[in-house]
Amino acid sequence: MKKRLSLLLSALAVVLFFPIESSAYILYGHKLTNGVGNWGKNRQYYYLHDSANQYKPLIKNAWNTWVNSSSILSTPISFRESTNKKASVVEFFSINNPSKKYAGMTYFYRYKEEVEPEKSNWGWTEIELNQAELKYIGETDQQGTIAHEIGHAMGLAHNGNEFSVMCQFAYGRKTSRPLLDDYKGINAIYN
Amino acid sequence: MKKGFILMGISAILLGSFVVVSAFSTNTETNATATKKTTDETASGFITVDTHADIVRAYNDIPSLTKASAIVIEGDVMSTSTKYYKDEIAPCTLSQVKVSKVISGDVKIGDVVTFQETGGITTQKYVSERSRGRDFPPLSEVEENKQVDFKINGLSAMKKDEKVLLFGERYQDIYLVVGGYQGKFKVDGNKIERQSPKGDESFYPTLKMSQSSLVNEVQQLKK
Repeated sequence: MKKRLSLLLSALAVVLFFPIESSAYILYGHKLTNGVGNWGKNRQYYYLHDSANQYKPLIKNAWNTWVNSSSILSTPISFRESTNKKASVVEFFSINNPSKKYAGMTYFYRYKEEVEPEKSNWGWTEIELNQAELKYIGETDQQGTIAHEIGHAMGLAHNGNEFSVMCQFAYGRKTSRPLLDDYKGINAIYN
Repeated sequence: MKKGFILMGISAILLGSFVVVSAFSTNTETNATATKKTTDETASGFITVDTHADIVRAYNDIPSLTKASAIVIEGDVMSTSTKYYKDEIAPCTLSQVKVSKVISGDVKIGDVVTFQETGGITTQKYVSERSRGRDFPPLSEVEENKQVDFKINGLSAMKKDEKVLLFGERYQDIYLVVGGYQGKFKVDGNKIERQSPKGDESFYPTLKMSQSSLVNEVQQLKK
């Protein structure tokens, strides 16, 4: 009996003194105005600028990891490539600038202005891929960077969970695709 | 035996409550931080634009910053100007920094060195012209001239009159801040500290320390 009691108390001490990471996703608090596809009922589109063509297969794969999530958790994400720039809500282009120390960047826009996603919803986003930095990492991780930026475009902020695609590569991201917490974040925004 | 079950039941309830409280408090803290930052930024008088970047190389300590740097200096920002790259959205800032202390590198006190960072002050006109995807509706002259502070992961580029400690890597005939914003420290008397990128506060090392500790560490590493 005493043994069981001390075991229970030890377990309680562990629980109380070591924090539990219950939800690793962090949200901006705002979202893509017209949603992320509403389970296919309101499909959304992305567009590739010519400059991003070299990353086309990786961009497609990265989208697939967001769209085909049902083996982990179903989400309302429904996106497809379009050649109609104005119909798209996520656009990709690439630069090659070694003075900019970023592999990928996401910019948020709404009517007449670029916005901060913590302050307002956005109508569309542009994702900039920097070849000068992407060349330092392998293709799988490049795909991870693209999936990371797509997560921003849909409303997810950075987090420090290595098993989330929203962790920055430099801080030890160990996945090149979204995982459970990332999908939970999307559902928290759009469900 | 019965006592054991009661104890287990109490433990389960405590554990459950703790998990719920823990989840709730995580979300609350995140929202509180975002709200505070938003208010501060509005008070600065600029329209702020914040892009969200994925960096691939981390400089989490003084040895990694030192290894990547050609110079380590303390200085005062004398002036700044905005540089634009064709077909790129984010502007860059060129800062003229007057060296007040040389910790490492081939520069002298009093030299003025140029540092380049991504982000900086621009105008709404520039933002609308560079949003390549869409045609913005025409802006009025007042709207065009509105100033925009273009931030990267919530961090502004250097501004005139700031006192900074910089790890610089050589790039053409100027210097870049090592790792984007990672090699830039704010100076407060003898203390130095990096600012955390937005959202990275819980895991980004600010490397707060005294300047004398930094000088010792860098000079040991450069030997």
